[in-house]
Amino acid sequence: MDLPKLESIKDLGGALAGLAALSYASGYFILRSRAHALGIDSSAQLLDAAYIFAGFRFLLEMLLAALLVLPVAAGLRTLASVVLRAAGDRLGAILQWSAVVIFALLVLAQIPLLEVNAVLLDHPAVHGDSMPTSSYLVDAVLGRNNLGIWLVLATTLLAMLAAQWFRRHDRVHAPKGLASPLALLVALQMLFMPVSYGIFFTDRSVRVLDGVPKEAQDLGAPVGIVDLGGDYLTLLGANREGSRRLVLVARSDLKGLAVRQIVPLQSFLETISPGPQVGSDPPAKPPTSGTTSAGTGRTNDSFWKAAVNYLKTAFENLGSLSEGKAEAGQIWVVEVDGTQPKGAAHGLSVAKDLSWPVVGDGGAIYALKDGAAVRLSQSGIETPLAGSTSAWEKLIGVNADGSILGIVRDPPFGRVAILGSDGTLAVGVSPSTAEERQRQALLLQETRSYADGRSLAVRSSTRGRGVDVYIAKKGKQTTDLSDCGDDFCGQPSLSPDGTRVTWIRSSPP
Amino acid sequence: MDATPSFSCAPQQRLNGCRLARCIAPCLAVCLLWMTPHSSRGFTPTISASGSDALAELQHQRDAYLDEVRHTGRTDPAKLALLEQRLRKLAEGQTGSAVLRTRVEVANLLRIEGRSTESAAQFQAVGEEAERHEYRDVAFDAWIGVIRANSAGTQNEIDHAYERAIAAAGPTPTRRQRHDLAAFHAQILEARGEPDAALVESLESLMNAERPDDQFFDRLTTADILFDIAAPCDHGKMVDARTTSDAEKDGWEACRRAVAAAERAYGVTLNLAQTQGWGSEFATAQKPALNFLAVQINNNARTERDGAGGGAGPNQSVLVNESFSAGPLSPQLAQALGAKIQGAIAGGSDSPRKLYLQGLNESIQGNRAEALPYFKQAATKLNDERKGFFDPLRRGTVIEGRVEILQDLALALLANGDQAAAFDVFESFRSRGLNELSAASLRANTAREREWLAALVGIEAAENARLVRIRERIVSGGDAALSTGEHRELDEDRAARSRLLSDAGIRRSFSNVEFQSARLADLKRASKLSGTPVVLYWTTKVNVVVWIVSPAGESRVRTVLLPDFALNELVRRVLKSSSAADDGVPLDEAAAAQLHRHLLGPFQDLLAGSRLMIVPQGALTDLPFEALLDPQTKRYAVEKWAISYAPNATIAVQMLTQEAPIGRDVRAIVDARLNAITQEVDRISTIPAFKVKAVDADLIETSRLADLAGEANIVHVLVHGSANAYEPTLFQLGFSKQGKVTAAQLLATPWRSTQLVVFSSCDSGEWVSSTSNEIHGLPWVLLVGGARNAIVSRWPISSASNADWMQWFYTELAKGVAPAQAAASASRRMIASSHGRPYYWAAMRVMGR
Repeated sequence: MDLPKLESIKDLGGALAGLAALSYASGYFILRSRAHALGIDSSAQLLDAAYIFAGFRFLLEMLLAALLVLPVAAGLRTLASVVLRAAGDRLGAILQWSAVVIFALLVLAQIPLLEVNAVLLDHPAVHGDSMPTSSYLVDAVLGRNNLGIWLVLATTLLAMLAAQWFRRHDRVHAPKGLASPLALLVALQMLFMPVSYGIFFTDRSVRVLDGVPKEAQDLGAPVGIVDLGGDYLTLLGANREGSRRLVLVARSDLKGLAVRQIVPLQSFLETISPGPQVGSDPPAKPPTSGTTSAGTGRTNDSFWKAAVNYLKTAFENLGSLSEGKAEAGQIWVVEVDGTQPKGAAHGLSVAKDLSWPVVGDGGAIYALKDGAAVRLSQSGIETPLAGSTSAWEKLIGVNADGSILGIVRDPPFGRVAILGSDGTLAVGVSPSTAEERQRQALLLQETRSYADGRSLAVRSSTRGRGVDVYIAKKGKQTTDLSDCGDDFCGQPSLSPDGTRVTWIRSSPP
Repeated sequence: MDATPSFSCAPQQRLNGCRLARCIAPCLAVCLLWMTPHSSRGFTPTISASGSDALAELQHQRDAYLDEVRHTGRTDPAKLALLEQRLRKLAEGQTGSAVLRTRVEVANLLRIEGRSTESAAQFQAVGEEAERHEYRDVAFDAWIGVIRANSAGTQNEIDHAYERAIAAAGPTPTRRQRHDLAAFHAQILEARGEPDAALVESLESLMNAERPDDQFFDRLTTADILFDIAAPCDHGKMVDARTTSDAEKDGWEACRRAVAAAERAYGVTLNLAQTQGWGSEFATAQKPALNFLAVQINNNARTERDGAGGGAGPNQSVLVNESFSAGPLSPQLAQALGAKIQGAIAGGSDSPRKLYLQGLNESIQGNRAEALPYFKQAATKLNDERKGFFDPLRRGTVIEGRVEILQDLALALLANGDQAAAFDVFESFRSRGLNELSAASLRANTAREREWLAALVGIEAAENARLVRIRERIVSGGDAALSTGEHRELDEDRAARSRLLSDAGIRRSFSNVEFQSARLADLKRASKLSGTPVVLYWTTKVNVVVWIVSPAGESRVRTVLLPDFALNELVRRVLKSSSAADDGVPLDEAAAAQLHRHLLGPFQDLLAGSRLMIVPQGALTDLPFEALLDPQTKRYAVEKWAISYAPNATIAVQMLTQEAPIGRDVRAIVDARLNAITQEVDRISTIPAFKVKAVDADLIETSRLADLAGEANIVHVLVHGSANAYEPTLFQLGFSKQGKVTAAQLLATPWRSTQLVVFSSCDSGEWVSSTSNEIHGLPWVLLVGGARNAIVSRWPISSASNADWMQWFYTELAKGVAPAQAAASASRRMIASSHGRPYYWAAMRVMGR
């Protein structure tokens, strides 16, 4: 073999080794970032082979991204050349410095990415131990918006422009001292790119198991694998309270357990967030991957439309900083004419473990029992509703078509849900804006206000040590509807026709 | 021989349990009756030697003698002397446990003869010797004997003997021992002014009573306790389990039922006595007092119905006085009262009660100078008695039933012109338990110690809530016996407390605490340093004592004529109208103006400046002074002064002398849902001066409450609060993913490094206060924990308006002013807004600077 060929082979070998090293380093950042963002870093084992694979995939996708932004980069480059030529030295320098500042701001804006942690759990933290929130960032990590895509495209574009600048800076009369900060920014951005790729894109699929392994018995079905480590796997599911949990199990513990399907992470979360099906509860219909987003979005729209137009809910903050004491009890009801009771209130249900009663057309009453929705007969006997899960937080009312509006558990704000009369359960998405969160938080309070000016409140009893339900109309005195003495009454709601108020009455512990 | 029937006379109960103000005559009558010799319960000899037969024979003779006394009411000292002589002779020939049993019987006879001091010494000697030789049954009888003989002794002596009796009984006491322990504990608790706990103990004692005489005395004790429970109805309403069904009644029904419950209990006791052929004096002695109480209740109801307001009508002039001595009695009345007092205090050791009565007698006879030393000695003894308790929730109770001792002493000192000494006396029983526990908590250096204290307080609070419920059930006419469930729950509480208290190491950390009460000179200095006048109030039956210390160094004390009945009614009206959430309910301006005229108006010359610190007591602890209305200017008090509160002068001095600037680090513990609605914390975060770190309340773990406050200067808590109707220390906060957290649990949090704690939660400031100004509830927890400034709410607040108030408060605080000034500014801003009713701005109470 002649020497030039040998040199070429050596060069190729060196290039491949360099590429492998780059892939490995990128893969390390990618998988670590993913693990941290999802909350599986404390338990998952990461593998060298996985680093290289993830790194190659990252490089490939970066090349694709570069291809996508190439026309924009070329256009911007041309535009910049024209502008800088026309601007002269002084203005040109100012413009170039401005561009670097914008670049720096974009780099700095990515710092919060490093603090995104444990989004698979119920309370993802965005800023250390500060308030968890369903922020835009968390939604992006879960693939609910396109922030990640735009971020990758923007940073790729900036990196390309920076490279262009270094190549042609002598032609654009680059100001002195600009190269060093720009190089630093480029280096930083090179580190951020695999990190953000890991946070937003890497492996967002869940392998849904055909059952629940013995070692994860606290979880209800369905359970899915979210991370394939070495000897251990990380499972995601929800416990009996509907809270999401990660469980580390040995590979051998899954022996014989089939993978039913592989679904996107976001879809899987939509399925388990309202709560797992446990025991003999009828299974909720998990939204399929193709219809989840559109379906849940529609659910939100339908829910709020019905709440405002049919149930006449108003969103005025009349609440206090106390909360009711009734958790579950017997359902009571009274007829009202405006704010005056017609006749005496009377107990309705036989059971004393019901909560959040609501009245439908025709006087049918629905409530929650152990988190599942039930319908009460005239004699007070309850019947479980088909399609109801054990993860409701509160019932809000009954729509004109007989479907039940409520909120399912997903702390802290829950998610709106509609249980159709045919037993289908449609769950909405988490509130993502401050306005949506406020509206949903108001709905979760015991105090209810209605469009006709009436409001229902829960306050200390004036004639006992308990809590009573009051009705009021603006400008008029409140009326005690319940007169519960030492008992705790609460969770009131008004029927859609405005003539009946129901609530829960329980004995003090 | 079986145990002999006996009268377990407990003169201490009759003496200490009676409140002089309401029952001096019947009390003295009963006390005299009970001071007549009775036997104790004899122990049960189990040996069959001839010595034990002889002892049994002598006990039989003693019982025959006592039986005769019961039926005839006549005593025969010669017979007793002969019995004593024979017993002593018997003891000379005995050894081992037999001699100790005989000596116990000798001590019994000494007590029956009225030689209490000798008897107590004899019992004590036998108890200690029996313990050494492990004759536990003898030791038990001896220590119970000490309690009986020490009826006039100090509370500490009685408590000590009771503890040793428990130890002698061991882990599995016999039924008789269980009975005796419960019976005497009931009397001890009643004497300490804890009628709820005493009632439960007397019912437990009754459950274990086997003989008619035991049942008789247990029922009599129960009746006495029920009388104690009804007694406060002479000036205020009460609540029982049937109050809710009294909607159409006048509000005094629970009081009437309480009197009826006591009457029923005495009736049962009387029947029992008559069945046994005994005299009925004991069971009927309280009849006149009960009748009088029933009349007072009806008078109160009539006065209230007629709207007289207790004589504080709008046009009545305010009578301010600087004379502190009562007017002279007629010679005949003074002589008659003196004779009764002398009879009541004959014999026995110098207890606080006895010394007080001696002082009172001198005072009645017009010898004020001679009375003073007695009062001082009584006060010293009473203070000594409080030492050594480990009773975190009820530390103040030892003087609750005998508050007149200190009150009369303070007034006597004032009448003598000795302001400094009078101030010391007032301060000596104003929230002293709070001071002691606060000093003790300084020793809690570890999280474990704080958690231990929190757990103990939690158990005490839970038990107290149960006691209140039992009392309300019985008062309302329920069965005067404990249900199985109640009994089990109380047993569980006691077992839990015993487990905690068995940790002697930690227990020692909190006992024998020394602390220095503030003196008048200290308060003057603090007032001058801070430029804040301090007004201390003390309510009595007829007057309100008002003591003002001004920044100029002036100290003025006056009495304002305002009977407690009228005061209570005015405070109730202001509180009810200002706390009403309903915009249709305006402030009761007449009541607010009346209180201003009496409590602030006469002292305006000393209250110059813009600040005011109030140390309230009695009904005034609940009063929002901020909402009092100046009748001249028609402006609220908060528009003139930045008002803050302290529970006593010692804490007032600490608060006024703390370093001025409050730091900028805010740790906000937030209910995300509440914040989403009102943006309260978001709005505070926008104030540039503060660095706010928000923590989700749902993430708080109950096992890590020690970390709750962190290192922040300010802790702001925005969560739902929920008052407990039976025990304010069980106030619940809606944070923690494991469930709710009670105020008691927050003792585990070290608040000492926190400069300001703000509880933006409903009812967080709810407390109950006792005569001695001990306060229980979240504010108590924060003060014990060492918080230097605290802001808590008096009533359920509107979350929307409160968010506004808080934003304005922090905006002002950012300017470097004191919390009270920032609160006043926020309130003034709100008064000027559409939320002008006190409901919106007077909810927050500032404790501190």
